[in-house]
Amino acid sequence: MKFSYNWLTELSGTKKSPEELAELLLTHSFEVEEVRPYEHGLSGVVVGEVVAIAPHPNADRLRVAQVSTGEESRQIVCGAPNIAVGQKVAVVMPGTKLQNGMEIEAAEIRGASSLGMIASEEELGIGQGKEGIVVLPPDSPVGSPLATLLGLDDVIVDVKILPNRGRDALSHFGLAREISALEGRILDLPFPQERFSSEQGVRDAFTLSVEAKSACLFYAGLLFDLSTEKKSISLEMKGRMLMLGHHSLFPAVDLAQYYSLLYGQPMHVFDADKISGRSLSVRFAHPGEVLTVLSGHEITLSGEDIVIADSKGPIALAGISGGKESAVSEETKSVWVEMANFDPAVIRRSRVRHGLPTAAAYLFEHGVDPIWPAILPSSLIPSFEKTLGAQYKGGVRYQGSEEKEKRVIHFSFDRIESTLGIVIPKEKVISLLRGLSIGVEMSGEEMTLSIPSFRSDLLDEVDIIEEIGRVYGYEHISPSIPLVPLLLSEENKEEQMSRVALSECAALGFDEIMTYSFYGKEEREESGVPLDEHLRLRNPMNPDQAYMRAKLLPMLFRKMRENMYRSESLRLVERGKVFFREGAAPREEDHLALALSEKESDASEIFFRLKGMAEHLLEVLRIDTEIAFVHAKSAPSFFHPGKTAQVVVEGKVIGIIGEAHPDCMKKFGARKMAGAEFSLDAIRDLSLRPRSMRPLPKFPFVTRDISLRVPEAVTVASLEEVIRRAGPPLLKECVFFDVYEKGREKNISFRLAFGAADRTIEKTESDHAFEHIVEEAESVLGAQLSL
Amino acid sequence: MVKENIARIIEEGKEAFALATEEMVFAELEKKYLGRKSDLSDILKGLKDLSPEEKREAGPLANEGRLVLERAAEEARTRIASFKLASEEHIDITVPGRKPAVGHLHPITRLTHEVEDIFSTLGFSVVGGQEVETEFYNFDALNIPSDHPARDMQDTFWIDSEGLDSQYVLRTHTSSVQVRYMEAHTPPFRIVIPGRAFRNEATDASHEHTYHQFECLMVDERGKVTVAHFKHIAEMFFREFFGRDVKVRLRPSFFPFTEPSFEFDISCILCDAKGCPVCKQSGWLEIGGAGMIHQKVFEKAGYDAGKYQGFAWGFGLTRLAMMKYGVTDIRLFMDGDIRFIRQF
Repeated sequence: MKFSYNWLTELSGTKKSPEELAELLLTHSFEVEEVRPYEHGLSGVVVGEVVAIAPHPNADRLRVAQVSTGEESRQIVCGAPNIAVGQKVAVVMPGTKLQNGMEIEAAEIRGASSLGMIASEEELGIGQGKEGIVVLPPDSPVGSPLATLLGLDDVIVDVKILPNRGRDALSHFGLAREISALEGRILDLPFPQERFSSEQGVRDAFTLSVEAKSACLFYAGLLFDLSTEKKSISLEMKGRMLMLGHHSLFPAVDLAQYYSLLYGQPMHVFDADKISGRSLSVRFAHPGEVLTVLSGHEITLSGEDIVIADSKGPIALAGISGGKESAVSEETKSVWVEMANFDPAVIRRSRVRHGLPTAAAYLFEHGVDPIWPAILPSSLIPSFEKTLGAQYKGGVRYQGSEEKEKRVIHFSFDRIESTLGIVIPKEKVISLLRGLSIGVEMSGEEMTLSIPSFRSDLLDEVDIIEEIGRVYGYEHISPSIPLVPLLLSEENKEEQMSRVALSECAALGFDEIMTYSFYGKEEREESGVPLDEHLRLRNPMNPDQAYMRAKLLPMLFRKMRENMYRSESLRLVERGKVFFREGAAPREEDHLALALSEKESDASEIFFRLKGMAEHLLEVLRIDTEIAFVHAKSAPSFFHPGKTAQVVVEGKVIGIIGEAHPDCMKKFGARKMAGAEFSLDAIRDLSLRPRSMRPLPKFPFVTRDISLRVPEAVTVASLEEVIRRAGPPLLKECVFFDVYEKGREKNISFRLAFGAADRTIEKTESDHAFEHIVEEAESVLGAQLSL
Repeated sequence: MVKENIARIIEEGKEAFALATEEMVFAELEKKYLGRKSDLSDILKGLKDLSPEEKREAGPLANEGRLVLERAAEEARTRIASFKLASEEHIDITVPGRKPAVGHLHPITRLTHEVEDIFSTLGFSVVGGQEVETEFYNFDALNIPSDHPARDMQDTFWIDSEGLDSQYVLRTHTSSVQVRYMEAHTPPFRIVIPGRAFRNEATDASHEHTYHQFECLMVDERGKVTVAHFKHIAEMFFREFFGRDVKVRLRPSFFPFTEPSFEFDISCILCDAKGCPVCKQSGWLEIGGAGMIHQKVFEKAGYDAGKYQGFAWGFGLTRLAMMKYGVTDIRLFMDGDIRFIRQF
């Protein structure tokens, strides 16, 4: 909220400069977003007195005025109908540029010289009056700057009032009270706190019925007659409101607004003659009811909105905006001033529903002190009478639930030290609490505190500790070393494994990227995970981010494409959560995805390059059980159907690997690429074999290569399986080293090692074992020994 | 005479071998000094004609001389062979090496590891959490009332929870892990929770809807963990993280799940708190929020009222990364551009 520095100092009596005040608030109360001198744009505008007026020789609608601006008198041509001799007016001196962009120069106007301009409110940017020139009070000193007269030589202090302090601090009086407390003074209300009652004054008011009792806690309405005398609020009050962003409208509205800035109680002013049936009700709207609000928008009400209604229907959206029909105008003769207290949550929902972020709504949402409607009339009524010349005709008051007794908090002195970790002298604590208008009664180490109504945020002991801490100053708390039991921190296997995996990927040349946790329809379809297993966002930023990702690869491939032109060789890795819908609950899994693309020359090998890296990675993660690569039955659509494998360990699928589909590649540019995605959770769950040493062989092995010609359909894995089955007891190792295809056949080669634990085997023995292997391969797979 | 001759031959021979650089020359020298018809051989052969005294003197001298020359020849042979290899099979050693590709960890990952390591040395456990979280753990458990503005559609990503067992959101802070952890553990504990959090706001150079956070919790019996302790741990952490002394400033704030609540600033590490554009001339950098855990949060976790006390603080890792590396556009972190990643 924006505050006037002058107003704050006037109310609080602080001697601090704006910057010092900001520092004080920052360290003890609220963040100060900005401190800046108010730019009024009125330098070059001074008070002048109209000394003489003559008709313009060449224009009927213009007149030539002689205006004194102190030392000198100047001639100004003026078209305003309300100009008169003896008036004090605002003179814009030649060479001045006004806020609306208008530049005033000495000029000839239809043959008469004019040295300046006599301005209207609108031209000066200080109000909406444009019909005539501003007429200043008769006692305005001639020649003095208009800005001084309006009190605009001020500094705006923009303070971020904390959300739980709205009730006490969202007003000039409230913040001044806070400042006084910080400086050790108690600021009391400048008027007697007499309870307003309907009996007070003349009983000529409207009848009131409050039906929405749950949402309207308090309502006071005051009726004023404005017909006898019409006076405006003072220039200084106008100036202040202007600085804080409120343009002067009608005197009664202005004064109510001024009160709201001062005390934080929003008020609404109705034209009393436009209230039908002289009766008002505060009720929930009937769904579908329509109201044209002050801004001119027509809104359709819902059953959750509260309205002020007369006998014909809603005339205001309670706590947010008045209706256009019942608004005050030039013709208004009597007004109904409403000050009420509405439920913050109801106001907030209505404000959001109708998109009406008004100043009143802001205050109500933050909570307004319910005491105001009870006591403020005793200040407002005399003020209306004195300032506006209004006549008070009576009022009504509704009070919902009984006002709570003064809240009491029991507080034990030693809790300060045990929470904040510092010792504050008892006398200091007491004076500090009293400064905050909190009543203190001591008995030994215990205190009984009575909390004023405006501090609804203080509910228990710990809230009091916070008050003491912040007012005393957190800077006085010196860091101290905690004495804690020496406990071992818990092992985090997820974290450890992901670290090893990522570091190894980096060692293999992969660059780690991070992408959003959501993706769009296209990626969702590519992922191969069905729609009903995807979690969907109810309010995504845009359609491309509507689904929670169920796979990392779709986005990783997208990033490959984006990076393709940046590097000849691309290796990307991402580690992150993927999300599924499993029955009625969401499930998250930790995944790791790799993607690889290399220069054209390596492209035919791309699948095996990545497969090798993946195998390497799994070995580093100490997966030493057998890893099987089996053809994937349902692969994501961006994979080549013939070049995709599921990675299976102990019968569980832990990941998928494949070359990108040719269509996908076309989309990504000419380069081939491959990708793989693993579930780190699945890998972590694999049983890690306990390791123990195997004795080293004592006798030498005989190694021998075997090359077998097999039909095209036979896989390396199936041939290896046959060899391993046929080989024992003498076969000790079988390592693949080559495959090449020739027509409809292929040639697969392994290096075999034969041996025994207790002796050096004879050549005949290894020959025999070798032959047995060849026979088996022939009978099972139709293999022929190639020569 | 013979003595002088031997000495002269040895000196000449040594020098000649030392100067030899070519195989041909070497072969000649070998023949000349060590061959059958070498001067030294001649002397040895002529020994029989000498007097017994001369024989006694010249014999050992000549044999010794032969050994010296053989050593000199061996040195020359090695040198010449190596010279020959070097000149025949010579490469340009300034050609750049064939470097295996070097991968780069994401800066957020690097910092996450750093932060975890610092807290680990202080006995904090690293705890994970869910990114899709129930409305309860993200809001209600943290004493955030149902009509709190933070729950608005414009601040929170909501999961379409039709058919799900609960209302789910993308966690708006890592604080959502607090009550989940407490339900399964009894104080004392010290934990840190790194991870992604989400806020439904449009992105620009300084705003991201996805950002990385750290949450830190320390809880013990009432009175054992105070604000003063929090200040100490925060200062210690930042000193270690930035490698220099850092001051922590606490300012009043409000969070429903802590009381007292603080905004915490650290003295600007870029200008040593003297004032610079990054700290907007204030000398302080706004880093995060903190506070003493609200008793209502403990109650939601099922702890006995008033039994425990502790602090919670959270700070933006993305923000720290921007500060530490001078990153001016926050969107780079989630953009996947290798030209950015390869700088770290």
